[in-house]
Amino acid sequence: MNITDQSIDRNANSPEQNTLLTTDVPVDTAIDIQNLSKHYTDVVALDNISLSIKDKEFFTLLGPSGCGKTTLLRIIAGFESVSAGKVFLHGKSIADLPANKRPINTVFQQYSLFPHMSVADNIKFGMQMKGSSASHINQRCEQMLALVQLSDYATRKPSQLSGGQAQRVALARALAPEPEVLLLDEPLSALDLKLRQAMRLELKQIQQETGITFIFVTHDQEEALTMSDRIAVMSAGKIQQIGSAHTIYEKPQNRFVADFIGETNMLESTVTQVIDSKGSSNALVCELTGLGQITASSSADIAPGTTGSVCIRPEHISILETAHNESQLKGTLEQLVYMGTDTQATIRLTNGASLLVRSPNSAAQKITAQPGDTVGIGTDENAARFLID
Amino acid sequence: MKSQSNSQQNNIVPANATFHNQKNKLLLPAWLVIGFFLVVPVLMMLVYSFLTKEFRGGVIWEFSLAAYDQFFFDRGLFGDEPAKIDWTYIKIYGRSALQALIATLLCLVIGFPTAYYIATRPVRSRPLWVFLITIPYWVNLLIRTVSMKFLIRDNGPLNTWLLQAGIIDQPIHLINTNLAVQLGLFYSYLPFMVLPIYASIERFDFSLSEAAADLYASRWTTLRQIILPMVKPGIIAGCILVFVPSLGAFLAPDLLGGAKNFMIGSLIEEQFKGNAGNWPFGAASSMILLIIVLLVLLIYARNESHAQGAR
Ligand SMILES: Nc1ncnc2c1ncn2[C@@H]1O[C@H](COP(=O)(O)OP(=O)(O)OP(=O)(O)O)[C@@H](O)[C@H]1O
Ligand SMILES: [Mg+2]
Repeated sequence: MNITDQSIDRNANSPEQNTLLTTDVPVDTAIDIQNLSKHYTDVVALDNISLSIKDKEFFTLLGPSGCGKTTLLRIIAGFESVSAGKVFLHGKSIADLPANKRPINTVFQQYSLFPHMSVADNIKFGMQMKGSSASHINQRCEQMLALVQLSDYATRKPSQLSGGQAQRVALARALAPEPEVLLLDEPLSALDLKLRQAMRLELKQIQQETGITFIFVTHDQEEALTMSDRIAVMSAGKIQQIGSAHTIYEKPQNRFVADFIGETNMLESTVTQVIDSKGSSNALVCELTGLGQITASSSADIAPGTTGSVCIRPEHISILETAHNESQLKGTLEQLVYMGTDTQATIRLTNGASLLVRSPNSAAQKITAQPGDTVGIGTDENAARFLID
Repeated sequence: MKSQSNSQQNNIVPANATFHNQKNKLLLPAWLVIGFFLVVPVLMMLVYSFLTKEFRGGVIWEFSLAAYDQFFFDRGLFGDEPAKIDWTYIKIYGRSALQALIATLLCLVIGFPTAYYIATRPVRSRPLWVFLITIPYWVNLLIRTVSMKFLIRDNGPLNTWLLQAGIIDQPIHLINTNLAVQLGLFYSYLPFMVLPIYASIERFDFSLSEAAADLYASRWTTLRQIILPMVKPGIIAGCILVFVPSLGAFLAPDLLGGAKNFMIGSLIEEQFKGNAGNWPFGAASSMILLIIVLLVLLIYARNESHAQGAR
């Protein structure tokens, strides 16, 4: 994890600091999007979206297919008009700037390298169009080739490259003219798993070295979680939540986010008591229907009596061999699946719901109970999260 | 797109022997037709061009270089003066080439934007546009050329409209001019330019022009540096398909150009018409035309293979 990520995590965890950070420290904003909507004849691709992306940030748009990620990128790049709303680049509206005048470059999903030009000519193209000097262009081209480790491939044609190499040329071509913002539309989706994992680290490293703001589009949650400073989770043209990987995963704001990112358990429940209310972080006592009580956190202001679900990640649940006391949640162990580093257990709770548990196969945490056994269930502190339906 | 087609080419497995034989058998009718209707007539022309002329048309089976001699050299009225180069026929060829070239350029200038327009329409409406382009060509070329002659007459509809609209105050004299021939050729062969260019623009991946715009290229630069190089094969095919038939055309020059604007096609036609003709000379003129055309194609093919090799 990098520095930005940690600082964001800290401020998400402690509300006092949060207020300080957002009001007193001016944040340099690269892209600011206000109330943006995009309608096609029969679909609403983007529905009143507002978000701001900080300078030098690795920002990810994550969401299922068709949620409007590409549309948003294409609007920022200037290929698509907006139906309503505004886009600002470093504080200036770019509505009237055509695509070829925006200091924003794109790494296209299908790379779109110019097939009749060599790798070097592809990389030089943007700089030539900007009218840089020949010596600068040559120098920068070599620098870019070195950055993406393709110095020996300068004279090849795109058709003579492997998928991974073509992807890196596309990246070098987009970085070469030193854009203020780089847009990447699922740049890794055409690569095989091994290469994809290697390229994630490489991309992240290049972003940190160049200090360029990256807006990265993906529908792969693992990719989003491992690379991003912040993630915007999108669904059906709306933004569901914006936050660091940690916040999005540990403190989902609604059922969609909790469901879309990772695996989770959802248990029906009703709020019985509000213990502590601090705006963005509230402690609640919830009655799990037919099971008993549990303390949970919530980011929204919630009144007693509200119904919803309590969400708990499988890795935050532990199986207790014996039920220590009466108030504890109980269930029957149904299935154990060995998965290498972890074991995954399915437990049938007393109210009939099934619960997924994942526990590391270390000697200390190994599950010793057998299918059929009645077991107690423990949850980590602060692991339960109450979400309104 | 490019990389896909290339890798497909690389993956072609040599066909096994039986499959190969099968394919040859299937091609047999085509080979017969080509052999009978193309190779045999060309060989006949070649042979005739080296024979002696019969005065009332036809040939005498006696070897002679007279036809080629007549084409290139002037030996006086009775053939007894020292040979000097005769520019008459060479000039006709030169003028024909120039006319064909101008007609080709006209077709290109009008045809490229047309093809571009059609290729960028929604997929559903493209066939309709192609259909509209080809409609006039359902009418016989002769009738189209005659009607063009009627249209551009000094007191024809074109001049009448222009006069009435006040665009001109005197009829433009078009008939029997070079321009009339060029327009006639242009009108005769326009679809041969539009269709191959359309086919190659349709295959063009327009995300490449977005990529160019993303990298600060203006529309004009994108057209010049990205689109044109990639649709070049279509443009060259179109130019050849217009230039070659224009070079040997005789309807448009005959009907629209008059005697002054004589072209190769008319020259050759004369040699085989009635009793005044000269078959060996007509055959020799045809062979010279054929050689010019083959040279043009050869130069193109060589350039193409060089470009392929560099890729
Ligand atoms: N040109 C268009 N005309 C009409 N509808 C469109 C157009 N482009 C996109 N859409 C619609 O807008 C919605 C959002 O599309 P978009 O391409 O932004 O999705 P996405 O999030 O990028 O999905 P994916 O992950 O599959 O790439 C979709 O419902 C799509 O069908
Ligand atoms: Mg997309």
